[in-house]
Amino acid sequence: MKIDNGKISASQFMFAVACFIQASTLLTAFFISVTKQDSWIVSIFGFLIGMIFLWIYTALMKNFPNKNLVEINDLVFGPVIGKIFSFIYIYFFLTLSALNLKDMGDFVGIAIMPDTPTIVILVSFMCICAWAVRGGIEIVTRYSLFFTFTTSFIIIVTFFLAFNDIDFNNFLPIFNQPFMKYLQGTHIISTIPFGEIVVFLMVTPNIEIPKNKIGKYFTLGFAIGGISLILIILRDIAVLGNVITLFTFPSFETLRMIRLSSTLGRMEVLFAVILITLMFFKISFLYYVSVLVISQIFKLNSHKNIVIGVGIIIIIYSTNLYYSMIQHMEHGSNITPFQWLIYEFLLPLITLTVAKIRKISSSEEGN
Amino acid sequence: MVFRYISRKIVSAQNRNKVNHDAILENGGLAISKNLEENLDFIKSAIGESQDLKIHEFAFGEHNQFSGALVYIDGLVNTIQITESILKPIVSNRKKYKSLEELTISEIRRSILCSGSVTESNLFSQILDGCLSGSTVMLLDGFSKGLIINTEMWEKRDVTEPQTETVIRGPREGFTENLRTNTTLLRRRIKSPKLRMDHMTIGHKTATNVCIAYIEGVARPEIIELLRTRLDSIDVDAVLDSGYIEEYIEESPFSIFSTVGYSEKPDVIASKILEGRIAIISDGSPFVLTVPMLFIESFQTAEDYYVRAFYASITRLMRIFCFFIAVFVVPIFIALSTYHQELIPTTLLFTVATAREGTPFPALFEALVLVISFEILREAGLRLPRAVGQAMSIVGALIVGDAAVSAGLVGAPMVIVVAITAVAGFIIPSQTDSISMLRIIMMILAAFLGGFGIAIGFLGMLVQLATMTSFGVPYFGAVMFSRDQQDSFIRMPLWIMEKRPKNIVYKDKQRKEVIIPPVKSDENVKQKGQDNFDE
Repeated sequence: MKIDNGKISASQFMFAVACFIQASTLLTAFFISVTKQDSWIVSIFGFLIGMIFLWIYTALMKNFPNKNLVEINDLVFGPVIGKIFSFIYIYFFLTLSALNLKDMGDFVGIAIMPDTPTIVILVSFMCICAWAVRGGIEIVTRYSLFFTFTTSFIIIVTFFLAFNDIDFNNFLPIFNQPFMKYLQGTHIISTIPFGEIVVFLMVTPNIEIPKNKIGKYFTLGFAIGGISLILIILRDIAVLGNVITLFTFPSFETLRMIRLSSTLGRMEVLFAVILITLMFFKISFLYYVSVLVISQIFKLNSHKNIVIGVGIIIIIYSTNLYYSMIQHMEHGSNITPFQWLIYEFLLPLITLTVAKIRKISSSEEGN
Repeated sequence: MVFRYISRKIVSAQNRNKVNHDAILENGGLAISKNLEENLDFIKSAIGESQDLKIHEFAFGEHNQFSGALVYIDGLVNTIQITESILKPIVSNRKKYKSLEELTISEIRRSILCSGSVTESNLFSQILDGCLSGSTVMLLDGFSKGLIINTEMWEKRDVTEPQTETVIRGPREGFTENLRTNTTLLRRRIKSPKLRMDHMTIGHKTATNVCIAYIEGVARPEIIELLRTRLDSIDVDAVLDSGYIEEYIEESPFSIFSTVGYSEKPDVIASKILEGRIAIISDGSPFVLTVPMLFIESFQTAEDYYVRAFYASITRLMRIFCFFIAVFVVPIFIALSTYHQELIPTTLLFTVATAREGTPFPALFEALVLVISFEILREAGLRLPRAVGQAMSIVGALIVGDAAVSAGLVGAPMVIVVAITAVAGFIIPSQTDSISMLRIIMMILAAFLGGFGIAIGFLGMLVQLATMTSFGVPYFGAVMFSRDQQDSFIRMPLWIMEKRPKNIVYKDKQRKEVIIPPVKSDENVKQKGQDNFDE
């Protein structure tokens, strides 16, 4: 039984992955605060480790081309244990949506609308997301290509515009920190933006790609997203240098530095606009996946009826996640990555191993 | 919920009406009797003693032993044709008919009448329909059949240049209110035998003739079928303009964007039909509808295809840009002057601040006053006679533009911004209504949530556009990335566009076989030209 019959094409899927990772530009502060000016090295390592995650997800997708995560769990572990695993994923997806929503709300509250109560921002934003989620996967991913193109364009343009402020000495000294810091940084970046693509396991049945091509498109999308993330970090470090750890939104500050003969200033507006757009994509995708998981576990006929309910849960959840920005940062750097490792690496790996050992796959069934 | 409840109520009310109407039709379905007097009495009672109902009784045959009557509505028929091709042949017929047995209805039809389109009928309903749509009905005493002879002719407007879509270069013909003229204009442009024109009537009272035009093999059969079922299920008593039909066949009736295209120009409709769309021509309306409609079509004009590709592309990009100006400039100005003053360049900030200093109202109120008064002026200018309309616009421009500023009611920058917006909104005629609604929504969002509100509004607009479909085709489809890009943001040269739009077309995808660039300067031609020059 499929809840959403929407179909997305291969390129839409690819750009959805890219867009999803690009939307994480806000979250770079978590590991930049750990590894400082060496964050670019860490992000490259994180990208490589993300490839391992990607390999697991692709193997799962290839093994179960018509099944999403909930169905895979049911198939591999049986109805009872599978349901428990799926319940864990409800928690994961809801927390992820709430976290991202909170990040978006904090960003808007600090950078754009300082006097507006956060709850107003969250509610109005979630209304638009709920509208998209009601439309299903096709509507949620419709603009991924457009968003990715615009983001990539802006990244490249700002890279050139920032040439005046770039100082390569900002990268020095390289490898001057304790080894554990690098390990921690790599851990954070591989789990927080890169590993989150585990959500795409929920939409496998909706993707119209031949089985052998899925890895190619997944990797390409991942590469586009990862490379733009690395470029952003390189640019931010080159412009800001060691001071980068002080800022909550390094990219925002970088663009604030750009001034072209006093006419073309205020580039951070561009960043704010593109970021809200990207966050719209990411949050509505996570929101959609949460709604999908819940309606799948409780065997609802349509995901549309619980959209608003889940939206309200996410809003309340995100307002109660952390007491302060400091706690949020602390949590993001030290606790969340360990938690996320379970959902992004351990559970999929166990699923894949058990499926391989028990020789379960859905491709022979032909449905 | 409320909408659903109300629409259910309306539907049930409509069903009740339908039953009554069926009962009336049942009465009209009576068969004709052999007695001429009875028949004429029935027709008189059915149509009423209207002044324009003419009954012409006549007698014919060798000894004038047969009697008959012609029934028609004065003004709908060609009286000369009635005299020349119906009355004259029958009355002056020299053949000797002794009795009714020799003279049959089909005999009259075949060998006496000199009219092209004649049908036999024995039902009053058909006879009344024919009579009311401009045919002449011939009833003969002693026959239980009548002849419906097509003699329609009425006053109609000439084919003139349409007022709405004027072009500098390109055909100047426009559709008229007459269905037949309009189908002729299309046939003259597309001579393919595959061009289909299917007729149907809609409206219990008006019985308006509606024609669906498409090219078989190019238009998708499932869309044609969908359109037919939707047109068939229209349950309405009157169709006075194609706008009536539009509201019944739309897929998103509560959206501010229209999902049915329209045009007044035959060349535009012909090109849409050639792309695989279906045209709906309604009698009595010069506006022909096309489905499915995509959002990008609002930005395409006929002239785009008649001028050279570069210029066409630039003007089209400008139109898209104007859409954004029209929708977003006033909200951005409100957001900047209310929340994000730091984003305005310092020198401009002083000007804006000075203007804002003297005005008593918040920016949103100021903008709303100007936008609404502009809409009032526009509406007044449309409704008034042209001479008064000019006076109107002068008064409006002076009062709103100048006096309001010097009186200190609104700031001068706001007037400029609203004026630019208003002019930009007119560049896209088919979206003017949605633009003015979007603009007000965005203004309110900007006033309450600043830049974030505008972003929310923009994303909301994108989601709305993405969820919409027109006859199953994604409304925003062609804007996203496919080979339809050849004709969306820019227009490629005509010789490159070798395929019809992907989303719409059915089987016959190729406009032409291969892409051949126009003739390059051929050696022979060059030589010849050189020779001529030498001489």
